[in-house]
Amino acid sequence: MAVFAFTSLATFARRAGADDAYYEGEAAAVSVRSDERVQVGAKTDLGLVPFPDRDVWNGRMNATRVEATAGMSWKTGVVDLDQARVQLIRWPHLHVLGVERERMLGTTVGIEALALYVPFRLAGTLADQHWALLTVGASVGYRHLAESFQARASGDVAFATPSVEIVGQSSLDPRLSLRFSMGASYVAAVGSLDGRRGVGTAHTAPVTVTMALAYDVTAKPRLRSVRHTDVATGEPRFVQAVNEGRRFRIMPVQLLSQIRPFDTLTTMTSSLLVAQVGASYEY
Amino acid sequence: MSTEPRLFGLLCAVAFAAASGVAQAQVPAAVTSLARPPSYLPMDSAANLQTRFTQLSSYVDSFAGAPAPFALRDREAYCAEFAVFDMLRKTDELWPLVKQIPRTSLLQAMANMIRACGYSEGATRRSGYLIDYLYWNRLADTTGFEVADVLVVRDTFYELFFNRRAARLLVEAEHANDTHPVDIFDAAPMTRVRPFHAVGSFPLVVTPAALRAFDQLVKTVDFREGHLLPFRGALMGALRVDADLALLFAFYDYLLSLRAQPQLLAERHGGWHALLRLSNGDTPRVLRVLGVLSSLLYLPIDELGPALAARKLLTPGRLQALHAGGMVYYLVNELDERAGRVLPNTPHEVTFDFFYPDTYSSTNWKWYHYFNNAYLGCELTRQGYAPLEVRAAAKTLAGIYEGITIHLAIPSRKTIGLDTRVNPVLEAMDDITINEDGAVFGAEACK
Repeated sequence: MAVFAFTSLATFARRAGADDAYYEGEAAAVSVRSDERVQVGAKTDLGLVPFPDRDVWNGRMNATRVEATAGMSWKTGVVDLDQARVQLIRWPHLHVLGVERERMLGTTVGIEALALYVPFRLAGTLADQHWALLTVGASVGYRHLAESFQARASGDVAFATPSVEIVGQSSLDPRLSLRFSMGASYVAAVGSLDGRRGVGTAHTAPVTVTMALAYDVTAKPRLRSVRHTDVATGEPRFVQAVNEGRRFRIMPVQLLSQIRPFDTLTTMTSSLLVAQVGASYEY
Repeated sequence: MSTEPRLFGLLCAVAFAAASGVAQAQVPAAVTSLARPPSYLPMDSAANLQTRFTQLSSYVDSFAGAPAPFALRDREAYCAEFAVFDMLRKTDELWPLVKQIPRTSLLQAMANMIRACGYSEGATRRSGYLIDYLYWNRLADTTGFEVADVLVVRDTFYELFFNRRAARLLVEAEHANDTHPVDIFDAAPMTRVRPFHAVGSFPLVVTPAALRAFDQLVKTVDFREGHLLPFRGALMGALRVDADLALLFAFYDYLLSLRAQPQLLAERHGGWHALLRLSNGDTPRVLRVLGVLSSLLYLPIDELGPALAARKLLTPGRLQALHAGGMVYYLVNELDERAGRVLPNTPHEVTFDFFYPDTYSSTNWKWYHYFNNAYLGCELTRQGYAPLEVRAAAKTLAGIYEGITIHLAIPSRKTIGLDTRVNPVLEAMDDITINEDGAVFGAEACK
């Protein structure tokens, strides 16, 4: 028995996605969703896994992600673990061996075995105040779907998810930055659902857009001016560089909107708006 | 800042060193014009190396000031041999040293430690490497000086290293017999390169010619098991060509003269023009000298030097080439930084053009990527590969290399305390671009 399910990478929506892959550190946030859920979440990135080849690097991989988000329905007052992840390697270009739970995909427990993403630069170089990256890639793994967790049908599926995402940041001033992401993906799942015979299909195609404002309250601003004397004129000029050290940022507003024109994988609402406030301590 | 006059003194001293070198060399007046740089003392004999060592050590002394307590607890470790084979994992070892010393007195503290270490190879190269770490991560200015000035200090430390290393090689060559340890001449092709072939071949399969170009490119880069030095064959080839060595030496002298006359750096693409003058317009030779002899840091003197010495093949010219080639890498970088401009369309970073051809400039400081690939592009073109094939091969190799090293950049950035994710990706993109641009130029120049 096999079911082919198609959906977008709704994991963008588990928290405000604008600070997912490209911002490492600790974060905590409170969200209010238009489907009448309130969520509280936190994440941390840890350097636990040593490099396998000590001839090349004797440090740790700086890659392990641990995160969780608890949600509560306004109507029922029932609290549940909406999302969780423990993943050995979660870099922007590589995900390896993660155990996850994701209400947005109706998944009570799943395994992301491997994901590879290739980033392409749309804008920005090292000293620029703005950057944008296009990431194309795919992940593969296993999901246990449950009707009690907003899946349309319970069952076990293997999945492959090609995806495309644009992530960017624009520094509005040395402390205030605007973050954004836009993403879509496609999940093909094969497995048994509801014990039905034959091949079933389920598909969805959400489009996810997030925007966030981050205000840096660290003592030194993120960017600093570096003096460079022009050899032709002798005049001082100034270029930009990034200050050392981790940044403590508050995120006064993050907005996420997701539209699913069709969805036979989950019982999620077809359009979702999430408003969030939070803080992060990141590089 | 109180240390600025001292740094200025060092700059003057380095410039004076060049002048005193002129005084000791016998140079016809006709070749001291702008078109032909003055000749400086060649680093090809024990006597000349000792003369230069005396100069360099006195500059370090004057920069360090009065002897001060050793800035780090483990003096022996700082003075000891500095192994670079595991250079990619140095961050965890080195960065804590930087953090222990107040940044604005770091350079002088290093000079003081080098002096206390007796100007050992380990202390000089370790200090240079630490400054490189700051520079690579755009933190050199946190020492309180402009970047180009910091690089003058770095290059003085590195030249001391080259000086001591070259002197040791002369002794090794003198005592060489028929037996020697396994070295780069004995090393087999690197097995770790096989995945490069496998992965790199994949996107090129649709164009068999590009696939052949990629294979040839990897063959020319010629990584060897147990060694970091690439281009072994090409390097030995250039070391056998007197005209290549003559151009290298003339270019090195030119760079030293630029230090003494920084106003010459105001000429756009002036360094490239000088190279064309010095080579009589022989672009392939320029690409061999810049792309092979001069872009491999200390690796040739580290890995090829002992192998040549052991076989009694280390002629004075080759010793001078290993010294000059390594130092050219650092000097080009230093002078590039001083000559760099802040342009209206890229107001947040320095744009480099001085050593690049007239049609090219970059905000990426890694000039060696450009000329490594220009050399490769030239060689592949001479072997009959089309420009598009050359470009695809170079871009593929650069993409694989950056894709692999980004895994190391991420934890390294965390150790240093910088953005671990976005900047490594953006830097990798910059590097792929400059690699590709170099290959395109080399292909065009040699068609």
